[in-house]
Amino acid sequence: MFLFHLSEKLFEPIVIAALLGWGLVFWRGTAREKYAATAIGALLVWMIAWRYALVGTRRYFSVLILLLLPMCGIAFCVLHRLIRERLGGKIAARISVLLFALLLLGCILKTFRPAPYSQALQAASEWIQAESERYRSPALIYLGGDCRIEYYSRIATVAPAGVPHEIPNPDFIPLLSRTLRQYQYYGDILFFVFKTPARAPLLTGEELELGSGQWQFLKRFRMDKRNRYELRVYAYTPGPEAGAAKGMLRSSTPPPADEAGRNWLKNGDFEQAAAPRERAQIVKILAGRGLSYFCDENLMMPEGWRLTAPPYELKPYDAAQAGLVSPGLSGTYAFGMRTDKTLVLYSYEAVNCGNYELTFSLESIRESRLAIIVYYAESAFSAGLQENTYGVLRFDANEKRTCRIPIQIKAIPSAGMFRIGFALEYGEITLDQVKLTLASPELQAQQ
Amino acid sequence: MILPFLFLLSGTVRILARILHPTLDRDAIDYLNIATEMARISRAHFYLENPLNWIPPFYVQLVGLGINCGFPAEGFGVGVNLFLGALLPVVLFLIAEKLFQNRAAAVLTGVSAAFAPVLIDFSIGALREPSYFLFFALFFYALLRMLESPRWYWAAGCGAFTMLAYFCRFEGLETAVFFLAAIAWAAVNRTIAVPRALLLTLSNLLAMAATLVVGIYLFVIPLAFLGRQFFRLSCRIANW
Repeated sequence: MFLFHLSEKLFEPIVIAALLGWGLVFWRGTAREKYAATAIGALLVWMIAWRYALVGTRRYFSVLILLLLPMCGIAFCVLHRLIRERLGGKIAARISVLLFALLLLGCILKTFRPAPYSQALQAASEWIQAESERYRSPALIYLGGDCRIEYYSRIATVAPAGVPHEIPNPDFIPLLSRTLRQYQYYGDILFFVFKTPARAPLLTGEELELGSGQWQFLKRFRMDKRNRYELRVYAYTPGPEAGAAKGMLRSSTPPPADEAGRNWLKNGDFEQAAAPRERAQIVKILAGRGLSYFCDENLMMPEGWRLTAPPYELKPYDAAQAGLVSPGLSGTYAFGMRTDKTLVLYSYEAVNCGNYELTFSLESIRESRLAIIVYYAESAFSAGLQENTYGVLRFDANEKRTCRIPIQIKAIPSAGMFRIGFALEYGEITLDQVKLTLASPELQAQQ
Repeated sequence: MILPFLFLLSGTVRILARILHPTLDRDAIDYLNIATEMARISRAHFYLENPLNWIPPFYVQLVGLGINCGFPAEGFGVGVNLFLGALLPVVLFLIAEKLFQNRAAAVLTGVSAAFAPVLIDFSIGALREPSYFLFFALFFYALLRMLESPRWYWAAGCGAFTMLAYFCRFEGLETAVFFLAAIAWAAVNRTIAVPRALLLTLSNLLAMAATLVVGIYLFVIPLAFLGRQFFRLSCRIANW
């Protein structure tokens, strides 16, 4: 079975011609040819043996073709010699040339046969790119880890980890539904692409618990001749009503403070700078990782907040920067962050679980991606914090926006208390007027 | 005339195949992304940021160099492979000619290499294989020349091509085993005298070391990575 797959990889006619070469050389070859064929054979056995023992992928075996081709060449010469001894030179030449031409014809057909389905991925990506031109802020979500979709579509792309690739997986629909909600702020349309068996039914909006008109099947691209697999393109449109009810408000006006009720976050407007002792606590993790920027004692940090980064994300040579900047978007101070790798600002005081609304004003200096994260635990923040991403937002350069995100922490049974985190994945932003208020009755009802 | 003919033939076949099959392999996109990232930030910075995803540097850094010179990543990456892929049948012709002392067999080898689908598939993408195959084939050519006339420079050539193959794919190191086996066989058969065999082995090792040092310098490879690769290989052998 292994040798069958190997010959398929190296192309069967070439393998057969090479085996014929060994046979003919050992039967009627000259001493030198036998010597050379033995050496090549020994090399071939050694190379197959250690690869078979140590590595699994077939690509490692493709170098064997370099040993097969000389045997392929000598095969036709020995064959010509044999036929010439019996049938004469002309016939021998004709038969040898004919057989070699057949081998080349096989190679040519294999290489140049039209394969329209092999380009399904590129075709789908280019089709999405053309479709996306009608939208202001399109984005693309793909599963399966095939980076070609991003490469050929050239639109903002996310490949969420943790969603299984296969539809028959029972976790697929719940995880996909959650992922779509997380990315609902990511663009005005989200193209969603994945490979699926052609017989599998279409995913419907009801299955994903999406409103009518938010989820739409757009197009399918066949991936093979027998139509076993296909690429399906769906569109998820959060829509203006979704944006108004539970998404973001695309305006530069901050929300009215009086109507929003109590702000459960301490120092959400970043107007209070931390005292030196607390400042050291705020940057403790980053300074401990050797980021010299955060060791500066003149750096101003907001009281009631902490900075951190995921493990292995920020190293001493990284140019991450954060701190209070003046003037603020409203008031004296705002919080500025600049990074190429995830840098997290989170509120230090825990809040009891409930249904909240998070609002904040943000100005992006360059293209940025920000994730809103909730760190929650059952009772107190001792150990075992879990996290949940409530939204991933994308900002263009020089964009000012006020965002409103619902935080349905009550829906999580194991959550008792939580903290809010702003994870800047890359870019440069100024953050101000962060408010966490109890959700309005209308929103509570919707949630 | 045969060598340019083979080069032009294989080059034409590969260009036509590329026109017909423009979609890149998944790995090819990864390599292009790595090369683009290397061109954007410094190579040393890239290695520090990606210590766990280190791949042999020859191809990606060559593409990175092309990007720094203003070429598009995909165009340069594929162009390099088309060129190297077109050279391979020429080297295979030379190998077959030395191996069998038969010009017709060598031509047939070269022509079949020009049309071999697996070689074409690799040449029309942005993959590491064409450079690896070329250095692997050049190693064998140098080895055959050394066995024919045991001069130090052919042995040194074997060493240099071993290391270059290693900088393309890790399994390129196996050619060092082939060299030692060939020289031992030649010494046992007395086709090469033992002192001469030792001298050739020494030249081979020195050339390998020199190429490794130059490669580490040129490719800005942190030494810890090489150590890790040897460690991983040892673990795999031990597990096996």
